[in-house]
Amino acid sequence: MIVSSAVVEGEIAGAVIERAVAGDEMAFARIVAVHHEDMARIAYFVSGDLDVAADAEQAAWAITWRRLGTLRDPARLKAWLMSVTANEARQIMRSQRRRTVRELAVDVPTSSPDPDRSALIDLANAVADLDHRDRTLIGLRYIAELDSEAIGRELGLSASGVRVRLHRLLGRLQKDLDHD
Amino acid sequence: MTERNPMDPFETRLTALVRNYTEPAVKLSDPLVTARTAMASTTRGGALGQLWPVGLNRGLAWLLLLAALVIALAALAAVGSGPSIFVQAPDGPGRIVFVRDGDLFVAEGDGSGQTLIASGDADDVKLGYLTAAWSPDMRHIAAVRDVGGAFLTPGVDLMTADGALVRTVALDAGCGPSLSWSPDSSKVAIGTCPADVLRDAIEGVESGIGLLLAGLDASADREIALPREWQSVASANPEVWIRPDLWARWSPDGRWIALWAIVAGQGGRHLVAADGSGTRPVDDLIIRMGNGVESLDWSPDGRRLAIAGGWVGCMEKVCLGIVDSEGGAVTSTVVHPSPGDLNLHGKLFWPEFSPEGDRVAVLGGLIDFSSEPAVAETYMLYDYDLATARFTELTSGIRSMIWDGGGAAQPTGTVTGELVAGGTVAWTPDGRGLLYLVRETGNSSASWTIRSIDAAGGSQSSVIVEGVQSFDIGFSD
Repeated sequence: MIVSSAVVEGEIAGAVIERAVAGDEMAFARIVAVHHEDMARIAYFVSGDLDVAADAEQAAWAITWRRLGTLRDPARLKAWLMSVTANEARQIMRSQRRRTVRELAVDVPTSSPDPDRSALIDLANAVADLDHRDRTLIGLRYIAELDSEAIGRELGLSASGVRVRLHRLLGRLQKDLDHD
Repeated sequence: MTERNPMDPFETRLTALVRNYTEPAVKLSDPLVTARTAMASTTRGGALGQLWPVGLNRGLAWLLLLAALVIALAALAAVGSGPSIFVQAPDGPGRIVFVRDGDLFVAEGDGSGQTLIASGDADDVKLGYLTAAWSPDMRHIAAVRDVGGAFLTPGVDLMTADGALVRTVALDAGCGPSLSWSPDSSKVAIGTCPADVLRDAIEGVESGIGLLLAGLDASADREIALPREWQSVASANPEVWIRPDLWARWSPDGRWIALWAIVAGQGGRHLVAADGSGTRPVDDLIIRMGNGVESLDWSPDGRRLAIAGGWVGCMEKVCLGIVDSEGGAVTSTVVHPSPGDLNLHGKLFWPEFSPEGDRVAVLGGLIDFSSEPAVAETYMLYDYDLATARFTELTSGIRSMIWDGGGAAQPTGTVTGELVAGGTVAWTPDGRGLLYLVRETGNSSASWTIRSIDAAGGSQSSVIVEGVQSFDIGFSD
């Protein structure tokens, strides 16, 4: 199924949502098709656990199905979905009391370290040190690519508040990633 | 959606890294199967209100989670907030109760003898204690504690002065509640926004407000009915306020509780009769223009209010006024140089009457736009003498900011002086000194230092307690 994100997020989003709310499974599937990848990424970024991420995404879709009719503003759909997903990931983590450190598979050492892999390990370590709120913030910005205003609406912050927090987080992450 | 600023090189690199990092989570799947699975897994709730009768099922749990999301940073703000019951009984050494790292401590008024009296059990899912307040008779402490559950599920612990728990008042998930003891020390007014915070997340509306009077004995508990149209501002940006905007303060005569609410889209202070018999807007006391009263304090005898904001005769928010609490003329004074200068934006806020009622401590803020994009934000602590109508600047601090392309100001990290936190000023019982919170620079977490200063402006400030998240001070007879 090929669906344009721009289409669903654009002017007909309201109609798609309306049909999905009315029980049109194809309409609901279109929403899934557009957003599931980012939701999976955010769930994983927040939880650091593939199993939790998969559970969280599915749970988020169940919640979405149940609650879609309460969404007044179709333009908020993406932000809302991502927010729901991040919360569900956190809730599952919390219920399972899982650790949030992602373990990367150890490759056979090579003569020179792979810089990309090294950066990923640094990122994994840096993310492990973030709390779920900060992970959510990073995920909404750099995975879902939401602007500060949209993030703020979901997190109960002003746009400037989001910018300030992101600014601090970026400084911290840059320090962690550029430590060497 | 508004346009975002272009990403800088590090953001571009981070975006690529994050996508690479999360790639293992992306699995090929049939959207229709996912959709059908979701549709089969649960019954539809339809409109939001239809979910509530379901009870504490998964739907409700999720509502609480959404509520939690909204108040997430309100919780952080609550961590850095101080309730505003400043007991003014004369004499005595004064005792401070404060929160540090989610635990509750007491200390002498000079900061000595710091003693842990209750652990908030803070961890990665619970914030522990957030704020605390002495009862006027100094025999009890009320303290807000995040007890886990949804993101912020607050409870209010009522305990003796040495930390022995009397009872816990359980609250629904919501914002960080505000506390105000009744003058007779028998009960605490707890302002909450429990029920409809989720609507803020889903439907873009503000939250409702609750007002619970909780006694040391649970049988005395009583909920004050507030107008349904009153909305909370508790999910407002915690970056710009220190004490929760959800704020309650009992009048010294015990007749009224002042609250801040949004009514018909207009924020303002309102008085709620403590016996539940009615409400009235503080703005009715004055001839209002613009935003009216933004903050207030009761005089020690309860007959007057110190108000800060703007009204007829002072159109900008740079005025401090004293008004009869039953209504009457306002004495307003302009102290900032901001009126008339388009490059300066000033305001006065958080007045605090002295124990004798003859002076008012008040905070001033001034933003200087004259060197845009560089912006200087200044905070001042004033002592205002009612008899002479003179302001004395006691201390101040400046932080530098830079306007970004999106219209927001980003701190540069450069701070000089003391950035006084609003709403956290307490007079010493003799009226000679003031205690206040100053943001600790170089520390990204919400952490403040309690400092004291001569109210007459005759001395430099001194450190009382460091590493504090909130505080209250009381003075025993």
